[in-house]
Amino acid sequence: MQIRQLLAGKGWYDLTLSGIAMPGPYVSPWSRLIDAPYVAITWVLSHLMPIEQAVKLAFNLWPPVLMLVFAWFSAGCMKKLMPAGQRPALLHVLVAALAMSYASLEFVPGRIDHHNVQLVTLAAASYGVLCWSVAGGVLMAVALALSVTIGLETLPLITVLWAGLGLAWIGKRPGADDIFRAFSASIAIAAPLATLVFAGPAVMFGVHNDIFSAPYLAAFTGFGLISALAATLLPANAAMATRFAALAIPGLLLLAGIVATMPGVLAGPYAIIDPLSRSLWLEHVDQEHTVLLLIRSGQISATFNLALQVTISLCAGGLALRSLRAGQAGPAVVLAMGVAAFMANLDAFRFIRFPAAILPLFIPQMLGHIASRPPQAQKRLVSIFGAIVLGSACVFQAIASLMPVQRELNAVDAADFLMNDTCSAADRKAMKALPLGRYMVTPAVGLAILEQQVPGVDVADISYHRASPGMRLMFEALYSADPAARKEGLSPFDYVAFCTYPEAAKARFTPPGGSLFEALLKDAANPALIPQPVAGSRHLKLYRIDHDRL
Amino acid sequence: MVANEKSGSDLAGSDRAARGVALGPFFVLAILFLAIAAYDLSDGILFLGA
Repeated sequence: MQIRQLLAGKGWYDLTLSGIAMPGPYVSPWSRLIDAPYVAITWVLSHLMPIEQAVKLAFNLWPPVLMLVFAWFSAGCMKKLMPAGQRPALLHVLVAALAMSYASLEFVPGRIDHHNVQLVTLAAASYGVLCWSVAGGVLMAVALALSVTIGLETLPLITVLWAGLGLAWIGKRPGADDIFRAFSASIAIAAPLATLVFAGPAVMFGVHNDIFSAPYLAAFTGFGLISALAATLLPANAAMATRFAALAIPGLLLLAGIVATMPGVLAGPYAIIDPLSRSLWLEHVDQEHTVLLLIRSGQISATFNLALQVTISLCAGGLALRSLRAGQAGPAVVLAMGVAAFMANLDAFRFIRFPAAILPLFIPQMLGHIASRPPQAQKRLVSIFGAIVLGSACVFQAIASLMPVQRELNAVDAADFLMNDTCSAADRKAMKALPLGRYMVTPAVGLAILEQQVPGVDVADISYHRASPGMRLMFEALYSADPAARKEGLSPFDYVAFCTYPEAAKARFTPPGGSLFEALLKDAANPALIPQPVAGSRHLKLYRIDHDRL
Repeated sequence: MVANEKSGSDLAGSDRAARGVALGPFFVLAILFLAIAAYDLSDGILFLGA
């Protein structure tokens, strides 16, 4: 929607999505960085074909192009990790590519998502680390500045990478001076520049918990400058304690200054979500829970992936340690970032694609190492490899089975059904003829209406965290049995639009007694909801709200 | 000594032989990623014939 509205003439810095009234405006958290390539491709193609066809083609073209860039940097990383003069064996690369499946699925044509660009930035940053040069430092800084401009979810990984570089510099690893200085100075410039270009001054100077804005920008730019100055001014023979103090003391002062001047940032990225939307929506979103829930629900591929990633971490850890002792810190830094991604995945499997993109980069190096050993040692290493995979798979399976859970992955209740989309193709077509006004809808119906792009038709919500104010009203209006809450929820709106459920679906849950959701499912008469005809609809029901009779 | 273990002076942008493009691995990755995408788009029909 954001891309289509930009194509239709919306301003570059105007991230308000037209068609949503919660009743306040909905401002998208996604910067123009994701939109820009689609818009550029569409513009070029629009000279050759109708605009709608050009948009569809752009949606299908861009993800595979990103995949090629991702494959390019990943292949470069695999090569850099190999001993000098050796290339990764193609069979080993094939094994690595299979282990990267969770990441590569982000590049499926037609998938409009920020994760594919995030994967490209992480692969580019990893390649920059492994180059261990000034150019590598600049590449890393640009990639990570773009990454945070897209979203904050890579922040834990970037923190680990930055800490790794800092430790390499404090520990006087060979070449660390140059790469640390280049990276720090570059990110101090690239971060504000990327924010200004792709998000605009309002984001740059505002405090927004869920996007890269003033507090985060101050931290990146400030710490970039502190690091660059320390790496430039301190003599090469400065003691490790001096180097540590040169980063830690001003760094802590900077953080204290940010917290003191912008304390709102401490509330976290989901501060906008009210308790009602949190309990009935966010806590039901699968990807916000541990990846162990996937194992618990019987997904063998998740068990295998986790076990393989543990094995890679341990085996590649051994090789990275040897490199580190020999003076080369790059592999250890990339591996640390991969392990951080693995840990983040244990917390919430929205991160599942990140360890799958980083850790398999070490597979060709590991398998090459095994293949270079005498046959007897090869057998021993393969046995150890297999034992770690099997052992960790059993451990994960046991933890997943025994751990206490508040909610099973495949558990569904009335709130989940409320969020479900039951509108048919005929209903979507019929939505184009909806009368002008503000609509109380479920998020799925809201998105379906929004996609029809009918001017003057505004929906209450869609299922994104920034739409929580609208979602709260929706839960109060449709899910609550309290008449006062219902009245408050419906008060800003003119109509209720609702897609009815098939009988088989209705039999699977019980809506809250006395709620509007229950009444709509039963098609019960309500004096405050006056049915309106919708030509050509199948499941779609439309009611005008009589506020005096609520 | 594994080849990653280089002395400090060699490190910054060194190892000219390793600077070349990793074309073989790139093609293997790209082809397999495309195959995975095709599998996903066809709901598994393309390779499993289901």
